[in-house]
Amino acid sequence: MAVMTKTEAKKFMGMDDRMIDILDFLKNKGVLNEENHRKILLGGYFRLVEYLEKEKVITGSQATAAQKNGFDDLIGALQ
Amino acid sequence: MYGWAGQRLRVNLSNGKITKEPLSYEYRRKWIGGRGFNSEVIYNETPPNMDPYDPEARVCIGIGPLSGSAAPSTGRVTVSAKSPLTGGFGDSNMGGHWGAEVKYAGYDQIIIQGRSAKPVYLWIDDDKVEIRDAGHLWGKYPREADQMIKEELGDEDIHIMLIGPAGENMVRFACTFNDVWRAAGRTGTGGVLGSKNLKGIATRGSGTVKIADPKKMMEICNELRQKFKTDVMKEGLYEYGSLCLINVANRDGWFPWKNFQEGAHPKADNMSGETHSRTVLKHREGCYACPICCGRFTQIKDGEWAGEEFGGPEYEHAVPTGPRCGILEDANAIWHNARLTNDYGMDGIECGGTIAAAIEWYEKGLITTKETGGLELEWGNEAVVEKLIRMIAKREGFGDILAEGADRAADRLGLGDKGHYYTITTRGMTLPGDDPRGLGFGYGLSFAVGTRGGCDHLRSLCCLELSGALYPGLNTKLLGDERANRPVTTVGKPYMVYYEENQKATTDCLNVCCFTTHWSYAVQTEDQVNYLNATTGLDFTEEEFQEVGERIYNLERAYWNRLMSGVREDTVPERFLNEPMPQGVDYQTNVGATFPLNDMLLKYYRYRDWDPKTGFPSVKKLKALGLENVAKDLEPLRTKYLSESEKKKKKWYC
Amino acid sequence: MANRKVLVFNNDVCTGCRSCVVGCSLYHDGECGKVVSRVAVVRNERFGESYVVGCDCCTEAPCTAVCPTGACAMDFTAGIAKIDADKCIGCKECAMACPFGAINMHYKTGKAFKCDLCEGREEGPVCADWCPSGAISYQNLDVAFKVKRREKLTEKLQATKIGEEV
Repeated sequence: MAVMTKTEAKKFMGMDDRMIDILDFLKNKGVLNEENHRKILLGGYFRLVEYLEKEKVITGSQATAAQKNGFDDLIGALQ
Repeated sequence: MYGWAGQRLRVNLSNGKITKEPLSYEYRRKWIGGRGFNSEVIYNETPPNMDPYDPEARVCIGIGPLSGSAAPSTGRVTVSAKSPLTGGFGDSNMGGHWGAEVKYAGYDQIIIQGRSAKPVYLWIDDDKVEIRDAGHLWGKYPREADQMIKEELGDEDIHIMLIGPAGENMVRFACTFNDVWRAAGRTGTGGVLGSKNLKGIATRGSGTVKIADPKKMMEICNELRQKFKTDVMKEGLYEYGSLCLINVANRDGWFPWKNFQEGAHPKADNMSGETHSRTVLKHREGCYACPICCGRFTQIKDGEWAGEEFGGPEYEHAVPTGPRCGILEDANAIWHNARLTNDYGMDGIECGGTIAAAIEWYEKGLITTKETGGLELEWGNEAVVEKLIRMIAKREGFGDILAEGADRAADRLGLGDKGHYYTITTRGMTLPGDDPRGLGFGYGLSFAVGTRGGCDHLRSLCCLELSGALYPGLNTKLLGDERANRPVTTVGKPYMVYYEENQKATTDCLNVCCFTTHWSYAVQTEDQVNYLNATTGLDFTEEEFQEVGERIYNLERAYWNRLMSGVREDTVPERFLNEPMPQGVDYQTNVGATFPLNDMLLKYYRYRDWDPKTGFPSVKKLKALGLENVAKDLEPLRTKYLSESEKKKKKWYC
Repeated sequence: MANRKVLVFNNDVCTGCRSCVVGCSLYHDGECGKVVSRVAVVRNERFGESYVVGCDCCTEAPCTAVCPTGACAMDFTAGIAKIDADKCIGCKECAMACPFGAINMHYKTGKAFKCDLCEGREEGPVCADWCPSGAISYQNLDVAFKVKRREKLTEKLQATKIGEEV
């Protein structure tokens, strides 16, 4: 599912530290609410990937790749 | 009750009153134990403006629901008090077996308050608790007092917590030990106990830890212990102790040479774990239930100090009164100095860091023999360093000034900002032997925001950037970026420090050893939740586990905020910000590096939800963590922190 | 005899960690503590010394010889003396007779309890399995003796090799 434009993705790809930025972005887009934003922030990156797969924002194979390769792949899947 | 003993012991040394307070389910669920219990009590019972040596100041000694259980490494103890060194929140953690004994005796925490009229020690024998005369023990090294108490009580198998002569003399960085050599080194808790005339706490426990689901617990613990058999960090730590870091530190340029003027030296191998194990290692030791056993016992075989022996040293204990003071040629001098700080009962890091600052003041002409009482301070002069260690412990002459800690000493000597440049501290506590220009950008951020002062690699112990590379995929799993596994990069570090600080705080509540969860990552958050639930019968999730850590961290942060310590004090010594790392050896990997704190600090605040203008936790975050009372406490202080009069005050310590 | 497996204790490498103690107590009693462990560790923290005390799997076990009810008796298949709690009267004679102090009295029942080599545990005794340093190992007796005899020869050979290189 495309939640990110190419420009937004480029901005995230250029960042050194991205977790909070991407979580805030997803909350503003309505993909995350307050509760799961808080839980995912506490729980770590894999929690984010699991959530996005469960909510069908990304596919199973995109989730597998995101777990293996990190944000670079996840951002690609969100475009 | 499963896991916990269910009660804490409160001892009032002023009137001799001993009470046992039950710990409710709500309290245990919210704070879990160990550091959690301690921080809650210190925040609420030792107000911000109280002198740390005031009789009513509390010392809390906490263990956790897993203490004494079969989970990996369950012997640790947290000792907390308002720090005489920094004036702010202080705690330290020690290994050994005493923590398990306290659980077997039937207590989750011991709170000490008041002041005894004369030296005493506590004897906890299961439910029988006695205050006993310690006049004959006062002035004794921990190794002497330990033996004397065992003989007096007629049991060589008891475990004892003790302070040394430095604690009795209220050296601001005196420390607390158990099992003779295992130190809760930092923040000066030994002096607080000394100010109360409490020499120690002897304990005998004949109970057990009850486990809610023994079969599940056996399964989990067995699986983890099988993992440790082939764990790469376990191998290094078992073989060489934490001194296994020396050659790594040297290569990556974080070896503290001459007060961090440089980060590497051609002779670093003189004191490496490999050299230590070939020359002076007498025994390998393990804390309670530990699968790693990184403990050392050292015996000097030759030279001036042949025959001297002691438990330790750790990396952090050996480097400060060694290479940080320019001593490296004769490794025996390093071991001997570590023995001294153990016997006197002082934090080796603070002691060495303070002496190193003094040597640099002398080198730069800021002090002369007039201030030092005739001593010529120079790098690598063992006779002078050794003498200073003794003078500090006894508070004699120039030692009495240095016993105040480097920043207070700088003020006593009237050295101004120039003097403070060389104190290598944050919030009044000296940084450990890890140069952030090498180890690392995560560690450095941790020093700046650590809630016990600049120690403090042990607030996050974000080894994801040190040993994380030995666990491929781990940085991706937690942070989403494998590139974070290198120390000299800002990639992923704000999130790394946030995550690891929370995780470490909860680990300190269980009171298991963080070497099993940071350094070695054989035990991860999901494993901790599993063994916590199997032991207690409760249903913690990973998120709740991390949230308890976040709660404690914010509470400790608020303790500092109440003392007007916030964003302006979130920094590291200017040396690391401004001086590019020089070349010490030709294979050094970080030549030219400086530490880019500002690139990371505000991002870290976003993770924490702290106000970037003040560095105070937001009201929203405090309320979400169930810290409404803290939000109330901080309300009037937010604007005060931003006032012109506060901004003018340079806060080296509180 | 050659196939008998026993616990072998090497106190030179004991770190005093008591991983054996917590594992034993959890496995057998479902709770953790020294008082319900069938193996014990003695420490002298001041000198960094420690050693482990466990059942030495005696062939003519004194504990069986002194038992008045036959509760403590040799299990020849397992190769170790075992205590039948139903028959035990808690007289403590076995605990006093053991030259090593490897038998204890249980705080719940007042009866004697001792090591049974974790009968039924697939991976063998927990203490040996969990020991981080090899201070406790579960070995075929014959092999253990052969290794011990060879220790001195191996040392000698290594010393010679060093001499050759020089």
